[in-house]
Amino acid sequence: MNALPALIRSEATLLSRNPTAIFMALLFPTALLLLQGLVIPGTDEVLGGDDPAFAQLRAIDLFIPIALTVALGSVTLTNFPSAIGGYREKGVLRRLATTPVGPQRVLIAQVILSGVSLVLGAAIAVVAAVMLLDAQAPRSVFLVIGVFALAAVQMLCLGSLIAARASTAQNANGIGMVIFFVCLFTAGVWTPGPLMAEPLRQISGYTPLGAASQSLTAAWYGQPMSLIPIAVMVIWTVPLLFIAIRTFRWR
Amino acid sequence: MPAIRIQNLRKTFGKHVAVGDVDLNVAQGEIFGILGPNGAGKTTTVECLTGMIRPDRGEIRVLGLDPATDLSALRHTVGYQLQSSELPNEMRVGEALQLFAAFYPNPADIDELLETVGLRAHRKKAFSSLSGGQKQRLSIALALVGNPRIAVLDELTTGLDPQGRRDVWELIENVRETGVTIVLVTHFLDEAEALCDRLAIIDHGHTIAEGTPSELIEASGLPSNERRPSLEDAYLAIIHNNELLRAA
Repeated sequence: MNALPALIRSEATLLSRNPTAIFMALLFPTALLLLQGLVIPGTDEVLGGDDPAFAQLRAIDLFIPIALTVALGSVTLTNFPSAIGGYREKGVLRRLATTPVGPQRVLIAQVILSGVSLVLGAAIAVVAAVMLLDAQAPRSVFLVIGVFALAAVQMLCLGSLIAARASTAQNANGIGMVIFFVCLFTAGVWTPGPLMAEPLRQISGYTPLGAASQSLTAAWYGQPMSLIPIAVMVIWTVPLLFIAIRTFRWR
Repeated sequence: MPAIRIQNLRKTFGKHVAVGDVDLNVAQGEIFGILGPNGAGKTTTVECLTGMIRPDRGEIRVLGLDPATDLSALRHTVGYQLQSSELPNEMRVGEALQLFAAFYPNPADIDELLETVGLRAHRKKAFSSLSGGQKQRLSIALALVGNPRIAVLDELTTGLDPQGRRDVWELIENVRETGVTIVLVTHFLDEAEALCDRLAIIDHGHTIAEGTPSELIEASGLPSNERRPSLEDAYLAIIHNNELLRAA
C-alpha cells in the first residue's frame, strides 16, 4: 500500500492546476517583501536608536524574518485548513473515510506538501530580498533553517486543528483569518523588532507566531538566542497535533 | 457464511430514532435491495454496516467481521458508494482511480475498470466537467477499485436519465457476475424489481418485510386477478398496512 505517496502526488498535481494557491504558497512572501522594500518610503534608512542589537539595521532588514513569519501564518492557517475544510464540505473526506486510508495520512499528506511549499516560498523570498533589496543574509543559515522548520511544524499543527474541525472551506478560512491576524499582531508585523513595546513583546513571545518571529529574528541577526520561544513552540506543537488527530471529523 | 447479518440494530441521534430495530440477511453473491420511504433509516443502516457510524445496539456481521472491532479488515472487504460525494474539481478520472487504488493491497486493474464502467474515453476528463451519469459511474468505479467482496451502493441512479439508469443497471449485473455481493439502497421500485434477487423494506426504522420480489408481492396480500401486482403495488400496500398498524 503506497497511500501516503499517492496522496502527496495527487495533492501536488491538484496544486499545480491552481494558480492562486501556487501564488499564495510560493510567491506571496516575496511579493510582500518587495512591496515593503520598494513602495513604502523610508524602509531602507538605518533605524538608529538605543538598542545596539538593532541600531545598525534598516527597517527592511527587520521585515525579512517577519515576511517569512507572515508566509508561515498564511499557508498554515488559511490555505491548508481551507483545503481540508473544502474536502469535508464536498464529501471528499467521507469518500476517503470508506477506504482503509485513515485521517492521519490525509492530514500528514497535506502537512508535508504545505511544509515543502512553505520552505520553497521562504527560500524564494530570501533570495529575492538579498538580491533585489540588498538585505542582510542570515548570520547562521542552519540556525535559521532549524528555527523556521520548527515554526513551520508548530504552525501546521495549529492549522491541523482548524482543518480537523472546520465544516466548510469558508468556515476554515474565517477561523484561520481571525487567528492569522491575531498572530500577525503578536509576530510584530506592524511593530517590527524594537518597535514593539517591551511588555507586549514578552507576552507575544508565548504565542505561536510571536515565538516564531522572535526566534527567527534572533537567529537571522546572530543575536543571543533565548530558549523560551523555542520551548514555547515545542510546547504548542504536541497537544495541537494530538487534539487534531483525535478530533478529526470526516463529515 | 452469510455476506451480511444484522440483528436488532438500533441507532439514535439525540432524541431522533433513526433506526429502531432492523434485521437483515444478505447471502453471498446476491443483489440485495434496501427499500423504504425517505427518512426510513436506510442510509443509517448501511452506514452502520460499513462502519461509518457506530450503532447504539444490535449485532452486525459482514462476512464474519464486526465493524466495531474489525474496522480495518472491513474497509478492505466492503466498497461503499455514498449517496452524494464529490471529488476535487480538477482531479481527473484516471487520477482518482489511481489514488484510490493505492489505498488497497490488491486493487482492480484500472484500465479494465474504466472499460467496465464505460469511462475509458474520459480518463483525462476533470471531475467538474463530467456529466451526472459519468460522475455516478466514476463513483461506482471508486467503490469497486479495491476489489471488494461486497459493494454497498446508495441511491445508485438518482439524477440519471433513463438511458443512464439502464447503463448502470447493466454495469451492476456485470459486477455481480464477478462474484461480488451487492447491496443497493434505492427508492426506485422498478430498479429494485429489475435488479434485486431479494430485498428488505425498512419503514420508520424497522424492517417490515424481507424476501424475493415475488415473495413480497405475495406477502402484500394484493389480489392478482386481471393484472399481476407489480413490486411497486406490493411496496405501497406493505407501507400502507404498516401505517395502519402503527396507528392502531
